[in-house]
Amino acid sequence: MPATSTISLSKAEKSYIQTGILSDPPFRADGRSLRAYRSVELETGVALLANGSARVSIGREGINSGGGTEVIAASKLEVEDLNEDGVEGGRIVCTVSCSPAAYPHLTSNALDELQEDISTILHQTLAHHSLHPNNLGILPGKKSWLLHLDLIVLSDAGNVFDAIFMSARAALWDTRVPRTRRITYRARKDHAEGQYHIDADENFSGFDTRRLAKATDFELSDYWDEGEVLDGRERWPVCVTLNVISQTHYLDATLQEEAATLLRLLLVYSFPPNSPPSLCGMRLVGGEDSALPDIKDFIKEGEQYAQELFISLDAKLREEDLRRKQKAYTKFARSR
Amino acid sequence: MISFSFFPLPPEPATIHESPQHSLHASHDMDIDLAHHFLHDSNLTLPGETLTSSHAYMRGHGTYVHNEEVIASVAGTIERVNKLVTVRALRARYNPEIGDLVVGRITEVQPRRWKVDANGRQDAVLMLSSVNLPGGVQRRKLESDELQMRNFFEEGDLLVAEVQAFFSDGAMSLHTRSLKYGKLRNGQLVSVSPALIRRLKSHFISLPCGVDLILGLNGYIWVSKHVKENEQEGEEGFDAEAVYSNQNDEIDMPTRSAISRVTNIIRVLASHFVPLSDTIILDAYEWAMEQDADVSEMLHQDNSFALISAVRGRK
Amino acid sequence: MAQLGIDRRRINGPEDSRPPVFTQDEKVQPTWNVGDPRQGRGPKDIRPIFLKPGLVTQANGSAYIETERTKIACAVYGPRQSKNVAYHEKGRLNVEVKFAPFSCEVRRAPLRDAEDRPLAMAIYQALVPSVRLELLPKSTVDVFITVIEADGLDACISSGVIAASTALADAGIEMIGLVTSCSASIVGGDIWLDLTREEARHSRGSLVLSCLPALRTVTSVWQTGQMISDEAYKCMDLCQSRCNDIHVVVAQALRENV
Repeated sequence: MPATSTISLSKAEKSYIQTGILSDPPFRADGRSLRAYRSVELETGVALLANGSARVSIGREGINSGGGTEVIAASKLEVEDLNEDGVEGGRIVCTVSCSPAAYPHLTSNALDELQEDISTILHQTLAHHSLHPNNLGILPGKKSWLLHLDLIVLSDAGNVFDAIFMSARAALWDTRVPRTRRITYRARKDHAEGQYHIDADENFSGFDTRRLAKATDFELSDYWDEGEVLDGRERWPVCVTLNVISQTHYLDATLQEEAATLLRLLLVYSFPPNSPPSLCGMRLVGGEDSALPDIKDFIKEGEQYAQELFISLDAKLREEDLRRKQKAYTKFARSR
Repeated sequence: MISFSFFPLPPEPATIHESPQHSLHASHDMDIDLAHHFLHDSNLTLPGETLTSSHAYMRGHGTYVHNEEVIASVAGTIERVNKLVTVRALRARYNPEIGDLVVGRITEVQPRRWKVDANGRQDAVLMLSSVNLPGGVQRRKLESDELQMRNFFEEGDLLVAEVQAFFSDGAMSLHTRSLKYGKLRNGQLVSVSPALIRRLKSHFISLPCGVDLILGLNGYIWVSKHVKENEQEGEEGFDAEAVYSNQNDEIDMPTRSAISRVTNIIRVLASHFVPLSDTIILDAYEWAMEQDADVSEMLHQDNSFALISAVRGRK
Repeated sequence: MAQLGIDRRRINGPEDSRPPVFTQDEKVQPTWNVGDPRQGRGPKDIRPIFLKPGLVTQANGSAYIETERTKIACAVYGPRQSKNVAYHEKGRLNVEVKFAPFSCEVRRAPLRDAEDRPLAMAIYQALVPSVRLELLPKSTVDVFITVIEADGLDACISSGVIAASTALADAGIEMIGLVTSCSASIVGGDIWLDLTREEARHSRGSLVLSCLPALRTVTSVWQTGQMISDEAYKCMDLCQSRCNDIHVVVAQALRENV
C-alpha cells in the first residue's frame, strides 16, 4: 500500500519532524523550505537499446555516494498484429518494477504489491485515451505499435512518485518511433482481360489475392535519424506529491518525513500548449480525512508547483536534446 | 523551487595493464611480501591476496590460512600487531566490543527482552533486567514491569546504550543502567559507516552551538538539543515519566537550525569518508558559520567540496 | 493440450461469453452523440440504490448493494487476531475485491483475473480514514467484496465503498462516521454523475469522491482522465452533495436492519 511508510521512526522523531514543519517559520530536518526540492539530476538516452530512455535521481549526496531516489525509465516499441492483442492506433503499457535493493526490508510479496500499486497509478494516467499519441499506428486495420514503458526504481529515498512521473515523461519525450513505409502488392492491370476467365462471373473467391489493392505489410525506411518523436509529446504530464500535515503541505519529502506524514495528495498535471492545464490524475493517499475546501486549496497550489516543475523539466529536456544532438554530431564527425 | 542538473561525469575508466610484481604470484619470500605491503603507503589488500607465511605470522580477522600462507579474505587495510596480521574491511557492519557505546532502534518486543537494531550482524538484545526501572534505583524487575514493557520502549524507539556482554551466538547484550543512557528525544538521527567513528574519550559531545551529539560506535549518530547537566534527571529523583517519555521539549528556531546544520555537516563529511571526531565537526561547523551558508545549501556539491577542503586545511 | 490454462477443479464455462440478448435490448437505440442530452435520466441524477445489510449470516457484518446493473455483495470478518504479522499498534484493514466470472462482458477467469487489486486499493483508501484502527492493536479487519455484476468501473468503486462501509457498521466496528461515495465524469462539456459502462466510453475524465457526510470531510479522491481544475472542483462539489443524499439511504437501511 502506497500509504505505509517503509522505515520505522520513533514517536519522538515523528513529532520532531511534524513540529518543525508546523512551526512558524517552518523548518525542515535538512534545512530546506517547504516548497524546495532536493537536487534533481536528469539524463535522457541512457539505454541504447530502447526507443527512448531517461534516468532521474532526487537528492543524491556527494560525488560517488548514492543516497537519493533513483529511477530509470525506458520505452520499447513492439509491432502488434491487430488480429491478436493489438488495438487500432497502438497502445501503451506501463510497468514499474521496484528493485529489492531499494526496499531490502520488504518481503517479496509486499514488494510485488508495491510495484503493482505504483504501476496501476502510472498506467491509469499515461495510458488514458485522452493522452494517446496518434502516430502509433502502422497499417490501418493490420498492424500497430505497442509501446512498453518500463520503469525501475533503483533506490527510494522518498518522493518516489514525482521521480517516476518525471522519468516517464523524459523517456516518452525521448522516444523515437521508427519511420515505416507501407508496401502494397498491387495486381497488375493488364492481366484481367482474356487471361483469367475462371472468375468472370464476379463471384470472386476469398482466396483471390488479385483484388487486394491495400497495403499489406510495411518496411522500415532507412533514414539517418532514429525516427520521429511521439506525437504530442509536450502533453505528457508531471506529478507533484503534496505531503499534508494538518493544513500545511510541503513538497519532496524524504523517507523520514514520509514516515511522519499521514496524508499525501498526488496531483498529476499536463500542460498542453495553447490550452488550459489539465488534471490527469489525482489520488488521496493516507489514513486521515481532510476537508473539501482544503483539498481545493491544495489542488490550486499544486497546479502552480506542477507548472513550475513542468517548465524547468521542459527546459532541461530541450537542453538534453541539444546536448545529445551535439554529441551525435561530434561522434559522426570523428568517425569520418 | 526546483532545478535540474546533470549527472556527474563518470571517472575515466582505469586502463588495465599487466603488473609484473603482482602478488598473486606466490612469492617465495613471504616476509618481504608483507614488508612490501607495510612499506607501501596504502596498505590495502583484496580478498585472495597472499599476505605472508603462516609460520612466521598468526592469522587474525579478515584472513585465512591456505597452503601455509596467510591470505586476505576481505578488501581493506592490513594491520599488524606483533605477530598478528589482520585485515580491516573498508565497509562492513559494526563489529561490537564490550564497553562500546551504541545507538540503536527497537525492532521487536519479546518476553522480558527487546530486540534492537544496532547495525551489527545480529539484532542486539536489551534485557528487561538491564534497564533502569521506574520507582527506584537498581531494583529487581517485577511481573508488572514485564506487562508494561511497551511503556518503556516500543517498536521504532531510539536508545543509547552500552555493550554489556555477548551471548554464545555472538549477539550483543546491551544495558542502559546509567542516567546518560536511555531513550532519545529532541533530535534526529544520521547514520554513517561505522568505520568512520573512532573510539574517543567520550562519545557524548556538547557543541557550543547548543547541540548535543552522541556518536554511536555502530555508525548511528544522534544529534539533539543540548540538555543542561543539572536538568538531567537526577539519581534520587529518577523520573520514569521523563526518561521514557515520547514528548519532545520545546525547541527554538536557532537550535533547530543548528541541529540541521550539524546533521548536514556530518552527512557531507561521511560522504567524503572523513573520520568523525569532535574537533573535526566543530571545525566544520565554525567554517560553515563563517561562510554564512544556508543550511540546505550545505549539501550542494560545490559547498560540500569547499567544506571538505577547508576541514582538511585546518588539520 | 489446449486445456493447459484451465482450472480443472471447477466447471468451466466457455472461454468467450456474451450477455444474453433480450428482445427489449434489441430495439435499435437512437444513436447518441457527444453534446446530446443524457438518455434515461438527468445529468446530475444517480441510479437508484437498493441497500440491504446483514445478508451473509456467517459474517460479522455484511451488505448487498444494487444500483441498476451494478450488484455488489460485501462481507466483513473481524476484528480478529492478525496472523504472522509483527506487532502493530494500530489494526490492519484488509480489502479484497473479487469479480464473479460472469460479472463483465468478457469472462473473468477465476484465479487468474478475478482479483482486482487497484479497485481494492481505491476502496481501502476510502475506508481507512473512517475506521478507528488505533483501538484495535494486533487485529485485522477483513473486508471481502464480490462484484456480481459490474456496470462501469467508477460505479464499482463508489458502490463498493458504500457497501463496505455499511457492512463495517453492521459488524459493529468503531468508525468515526459512515463513508459514502459518488462518481462524476466529464461528458462533452457537461458533468454527469454515476456513469454506466456504456456512457463511460464517451467520458473525457472522471472522478470518484468518498466522504464522511456526517463530519463534512473527504476520505478519498480518485481521478483519472483529463479535466481542468475548475471542472474538478465542480465534480467534487456535486459528488459531495450527492454523497449527503446517499448517507440518508445508508442510514435508513441500517436503521431498518437493527
